[in-house]
Amino acid sequence: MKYTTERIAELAATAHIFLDRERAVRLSDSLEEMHAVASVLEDGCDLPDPFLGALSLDGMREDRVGASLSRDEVLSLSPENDGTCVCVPRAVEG
Amino acid sequence: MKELLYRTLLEHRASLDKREYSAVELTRAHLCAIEEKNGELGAFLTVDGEGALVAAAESDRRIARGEGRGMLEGIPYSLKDNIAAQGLPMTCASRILENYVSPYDATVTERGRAAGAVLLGKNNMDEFAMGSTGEHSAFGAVKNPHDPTRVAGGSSSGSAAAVASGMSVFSLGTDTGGSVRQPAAFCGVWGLKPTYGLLSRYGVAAMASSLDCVGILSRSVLDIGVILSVLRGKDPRDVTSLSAGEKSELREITSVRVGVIGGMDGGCVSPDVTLAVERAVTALTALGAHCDAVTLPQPANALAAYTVIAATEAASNLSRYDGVRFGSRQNADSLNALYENSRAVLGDEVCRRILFGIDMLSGENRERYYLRALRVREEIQRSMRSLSERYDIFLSPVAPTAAFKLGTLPSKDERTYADMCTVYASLACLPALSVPMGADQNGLPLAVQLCAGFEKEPMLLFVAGLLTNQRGEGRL
Repeated sequence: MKYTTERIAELAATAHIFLDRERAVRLSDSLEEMHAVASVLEDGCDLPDPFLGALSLDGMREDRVGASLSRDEVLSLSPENDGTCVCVPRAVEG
Repeated sequence: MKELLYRTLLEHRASLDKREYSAVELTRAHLCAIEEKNGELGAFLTVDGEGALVAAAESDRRIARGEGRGMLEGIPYSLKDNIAAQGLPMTCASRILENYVSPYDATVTERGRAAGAVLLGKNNMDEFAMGSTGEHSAFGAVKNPHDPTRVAGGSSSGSAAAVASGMSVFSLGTDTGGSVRQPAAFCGVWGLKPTYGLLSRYGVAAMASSLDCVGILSRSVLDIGVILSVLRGKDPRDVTSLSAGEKSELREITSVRVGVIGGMDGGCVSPDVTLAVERAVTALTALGAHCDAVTLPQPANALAAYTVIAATEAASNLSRYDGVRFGSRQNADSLNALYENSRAVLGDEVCRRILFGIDMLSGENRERYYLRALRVREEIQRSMRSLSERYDIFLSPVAPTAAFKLGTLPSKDERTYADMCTVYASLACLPALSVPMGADQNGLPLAVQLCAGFEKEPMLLFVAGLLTNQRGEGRL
């Protein structure tokens, strides 16, 4: 079994999502099912490199606002967030 | 006023231009329908009655002066709640955006306003467009208008239900892996996923950016063509958008080649759906089209590639909902705890995809799954381009069954097959259309999917129109 509660907890911590044990157990079976679908890729694909840019977790972490800032420094960027509206939209980037 | 419901856009256009009724009367009829039906069906999360009536009155004034703005002038429509409309909530059916009001219009919304369309409100959906039943909204499930004990499909569940029940003339949804086509099929309306990039994604909450498309749900194929022609076109704010330009030449139907897709179902397709496909083949053959059986390349790899790419891109895109950049903030003493507390409201389906996406990018998994998924997608695109040189249209089911009961889960084989039917067009960026094809023995809508080559929407809509005229089912 790939998605033990410990592994799910690790992934949740990376995703900054709090999951209680009950929720982690609930997600486990469906994660296993997704992995079963993806597992056909493990056989290897003798195909050319993709020309599209690839995502990486490092990119996701760098994208996280305040990766190197303190809590107060981050909150100073958007001091009043009651959830009604925060950010100015940016154009979709290629 | 109920007699004004269920007419097509073109029928309303003719009547509005002849002043048989006004845009205000038309809008009021739809607002009344929403008031009457939405409590049960849950198709709308936000209704902007006041704004709609103001817009309708302005439409009437322009029509009276002979200054109508075109085909969409005075036509009431709705938007899936992941498409921005200035001044209206944009929740993406998630608690984390419960209080978010959009400060701007998406490009498709802006173009709709400029064309005089009347926005009724925002449609319910699966949370962040993740789901295929309409049951994963944080604000209640959407019910199927044909049988409210059944799902409407998803994730554009509210859009499909609104059009099917006469609450909207048309709706804009989004389709990443079937999320316009499948609910359209379940609710008995037309649903188009256009060529990737044909409709701008600016102002659409991203799920999987290389797969997301704004789609159209309507009551006739001609309506789809009209709406597409108004909303399409290059948008400098979306670098992936395509310039408007007709690249498809129409030919006599007798020279059209149709590839009927087979070899994937594993016996899980219902007899009624099989019959719907057979009826479509019979009708197309009677028209003079050439139909051949084809097998799509690497179905298992295609599904795996879609699953990995969609989840990884979604995990990245949804990282912005952290209580700082977007989303209601749940305060805490540390930054990490602030993020976790704010994101704790995300639903199970969303969490599942985020966690899986992150796993597919972790350590060795990135090479073993994600990069291979990208390579598979390249190969699928090459294969589909090659097949598109031999076939003008591909025909398949949209889903293996009609709409199923709320709270039930289709079998694993049915879920796999359903995904296989729709993900090819998504991976290969091709246009695909859900075409209503009558009903099953329980009276539930059935549909088939037509898919065409890149930017071949004219051929797609042409064949779909001929198919349904042949069957006497050109409109609902």
